[in-house]
Amino acid sequence: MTMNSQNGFGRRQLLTGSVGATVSLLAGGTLLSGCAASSTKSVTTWYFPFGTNVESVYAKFKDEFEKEHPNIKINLQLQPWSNRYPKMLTALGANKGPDVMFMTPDALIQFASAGVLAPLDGLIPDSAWKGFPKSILDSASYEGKRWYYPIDQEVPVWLYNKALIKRIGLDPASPPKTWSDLRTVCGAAKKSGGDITGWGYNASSVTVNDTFYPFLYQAGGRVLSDDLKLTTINSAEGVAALTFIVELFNNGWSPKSYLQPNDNALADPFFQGNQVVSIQFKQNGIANARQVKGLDWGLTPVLRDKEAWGFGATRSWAISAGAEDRDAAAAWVNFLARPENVVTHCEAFGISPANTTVAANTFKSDPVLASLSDRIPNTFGEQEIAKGRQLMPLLTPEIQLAILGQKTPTQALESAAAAIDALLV
Amino acid sequence: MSPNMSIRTTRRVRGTTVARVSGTYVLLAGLSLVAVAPLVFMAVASFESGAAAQNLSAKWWPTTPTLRNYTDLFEHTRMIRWFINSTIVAVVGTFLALLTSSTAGYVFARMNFPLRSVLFWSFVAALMIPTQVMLIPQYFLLARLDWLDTYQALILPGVTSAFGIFLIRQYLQSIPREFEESARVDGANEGQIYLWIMLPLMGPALATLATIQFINYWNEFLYPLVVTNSDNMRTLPVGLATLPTPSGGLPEVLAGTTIALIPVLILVPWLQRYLTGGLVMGGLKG
Amino acid sequence: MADSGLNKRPTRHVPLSRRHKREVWLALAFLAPTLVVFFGFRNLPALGGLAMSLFDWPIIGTPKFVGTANFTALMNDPLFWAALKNTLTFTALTVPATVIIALALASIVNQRLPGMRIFRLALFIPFITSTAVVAIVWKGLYGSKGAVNQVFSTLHLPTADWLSNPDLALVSVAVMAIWKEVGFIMLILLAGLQTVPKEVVEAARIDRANSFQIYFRIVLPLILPIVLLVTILSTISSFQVFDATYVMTGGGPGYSTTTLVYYIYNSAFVGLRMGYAATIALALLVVILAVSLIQRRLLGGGEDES
Repeated sequence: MTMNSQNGFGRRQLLTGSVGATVSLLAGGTLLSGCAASSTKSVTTWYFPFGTNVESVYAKFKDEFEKEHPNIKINLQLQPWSNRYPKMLTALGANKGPDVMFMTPDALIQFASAGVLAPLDGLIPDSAWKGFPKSILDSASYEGKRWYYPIDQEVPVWLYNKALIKRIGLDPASPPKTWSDLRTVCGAAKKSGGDITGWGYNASSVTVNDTFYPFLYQAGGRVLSDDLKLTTINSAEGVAALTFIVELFNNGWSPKSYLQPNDNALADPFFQGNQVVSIQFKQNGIANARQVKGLDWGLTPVLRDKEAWGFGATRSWAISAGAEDRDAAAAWVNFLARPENVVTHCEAFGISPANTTVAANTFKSDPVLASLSDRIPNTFGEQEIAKGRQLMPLLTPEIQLAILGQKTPTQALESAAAAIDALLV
Repeated sequence: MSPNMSIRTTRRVRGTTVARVSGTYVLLAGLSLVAVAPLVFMAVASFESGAAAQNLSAKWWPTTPTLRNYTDLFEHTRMIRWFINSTIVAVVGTFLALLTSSTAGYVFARMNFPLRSVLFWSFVAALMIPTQVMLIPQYFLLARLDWLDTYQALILPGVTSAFGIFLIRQYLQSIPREFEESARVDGANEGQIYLWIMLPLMGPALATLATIQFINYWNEFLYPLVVTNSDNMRTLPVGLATLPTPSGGLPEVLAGTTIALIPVLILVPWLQRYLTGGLVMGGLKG
Repeated sequence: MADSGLNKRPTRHVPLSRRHKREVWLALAFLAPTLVVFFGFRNLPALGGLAMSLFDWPIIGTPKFVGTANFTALMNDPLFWAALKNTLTFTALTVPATVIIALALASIVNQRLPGMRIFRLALFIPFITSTAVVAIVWKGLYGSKGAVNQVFSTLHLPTADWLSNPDLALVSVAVMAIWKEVGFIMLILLAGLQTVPKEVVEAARIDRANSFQIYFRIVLPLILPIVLLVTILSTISSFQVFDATYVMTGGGPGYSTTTLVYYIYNSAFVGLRMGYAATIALALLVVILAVSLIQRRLLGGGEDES
């Protein structure tokens, strides 16, 4: 009996049917997609959740801009902070990235040297570059050209709990300033018992910028040698910094929960009311503190041992090299760079402007936030090498090993330094 | 077996059976509690307000209950759109995955052709390569096809499930061939055999596959994040990630995640019907 | 493991070669859509991704051919070996436990007792959420004052720093992984158990076989193909663990929970060394294939029907 089909499916029908199904599937799929109609010029912008009302603030910017420039459409696309590097790298690598993107400086040198950014000289007028501190201008430059336009500047903030300080017997009006002050606070907190800890060190943070590096800088050390070719974290200052950190854990002055990643800032022991002095936050630490009911908090000055330092990133707009129309993109960036718009952005999200002149006009009604710009001279930014971010996974585990007592601070830093030097070659 | 012996056996069996059955229930109840507890804690936290909301602790009931997180979610975000997108992607994708897996699994289990083994294990081997490595080439391919930010980009790569093919194949290998063979003897052609005999036989496996495929689509994060740019093409997990953290973000995210559980919680029991209904082996003996 | 496919089974009415050709055509027809999509969206990208191991590529920028340099670097990389060891340990902790517990549970809920459906759903619920979200909850449970320690202290068992102690961190993550996967594996095994003909079990009971004999001599061999399936699947997903360690412990403390996929992720997107990441992925593939082949040999149930 042959199996030719008289009725039902035969093999040929099956074959054509299935191929046909595949093709129509693929074709029909395109009908389902939401395609954006293209108008005169469009500038795709990637921005991030700076704060709770980010979409409305930027929607207003977009409307104003489009009124002034009727032939340019701004396509705003909000991206999550989480996993933004895989996303940006993939998109830029395939030349499908946005035209304008909000950037943190860690990626600047990488992106600039890889040629995915458009140099801003010529696109942004010289007048717009006036009023920035030299350090910020330098961080925006690479190989003689400027690659991004700084908008806001993170500033280091340590908070302290006035009620707790009083409870452990110290003066709430006088915040701790130095490492020895902190030792005093921690000792008193430990003695008063209960669940209170004096301070803390965020040992699991993926970035060491605002965890280990401030300690290093405060001890007088630096991450890299002057010629940026070798690392100096294993210097005597580095060992002193790590020793202090290990002390925090050994004496029970820092909660052990910091050895695990915490994705939610408000779950931090300080905001839960269990910690006297907070770890280093950015300015949004203040916004967070204001949200917590019943928290009587104050600001410490920039902490110091030998020097006073804290970390703060300069955040900026950049134009991608593959932008559809660089002039349209530049028009948009220039609009966002206008002092009044920078003020709107910064006041909406509680961050200090990078430009000193603009900063003088910001936070007129909020003296606490306004005073933060004074800290900029004691704020260090990203390390100025392309591989800055790649150093960090080599450092964090070693620090954890030192905290756990499996290596001495010297050993841990020597291992890390060896790996870093190998990487920098 | 003599009647006397059967009565004695039954009595003895009944005694131990009661103990065994109640023991079973106690064990299952305890394990179910452990299984469900963390998710209950998460759902409870989504109804919390204030400081308690920021700290995911083990509570069976919110201390300061509020519906704010849920209303915020619906008023201030495009939650509904994300939900719709996730639903479209998951439903269409699962359906297509069932189609491809059942046909391919059937082929690998029942038919012979050259390189069958090689082809099959090459499918399975693709499972062994982590998404992070495939992500960039897939992205480049989609960019080339101009399919970024589209439904087909979200649906297609998951449509052929090596897992599904593997599952159907192994499942069919546990089932004797008598059904199909007798149908062939009776003159049915392959299409009819596939539709009227194999598909019903695969019932439990298909239900299982549908469950798992749906959940995979529903929870996928990195891939949809990378291939969609605009907010109105986002799926639920990616959309929730755009809610600002740290301030105030976590409770809304938990609310969103709890809502995301609901479709799956409805779908799974519904599919479960097919799990026990499936096989009627009794008809074989005739 | 030789493919017995080409050994002829007695056919009924059609000449052998014609039937064979017909089968090949049919196979193609059934497979066509799957093959197209699969090759397009899985195989090709996978091969492309792996081929990157011959290059040095920062993703943004042009790839530079380096031949076998990545492989030599990998062999001499202590972090690779540490990650491999962690991953193997993690798999050894998770897979046997998951399969055995799931098998036991599947057998238990397979009984015709009222309410089994509810238990099945409850046990399956952990699988429903995404690992990243549920890991946040577990972090809290493992905290120093978390539920786990509270339960332990009421039972007079020692409490511990589950996630901040490098000796315990991997095990703690493994427990979460088992919790999450058991219900899923149970469902698949349940489907398999449904294929066991009731008559066979009945016949054995009549022959005075006790439950153990029935279970181990009759039921298990019949569902061996499915057991192999879940073992291999569970192994593959254990080898690829990422979200659990990334969210719960960040690869630490120290290096104790750095797994291979975590290393791949770091190399690719932080280190901007896509080529090296591909090399690690290739090594991972080889390891998984080897383990799967061993499992196939031990559990059989692969190519031939029982």
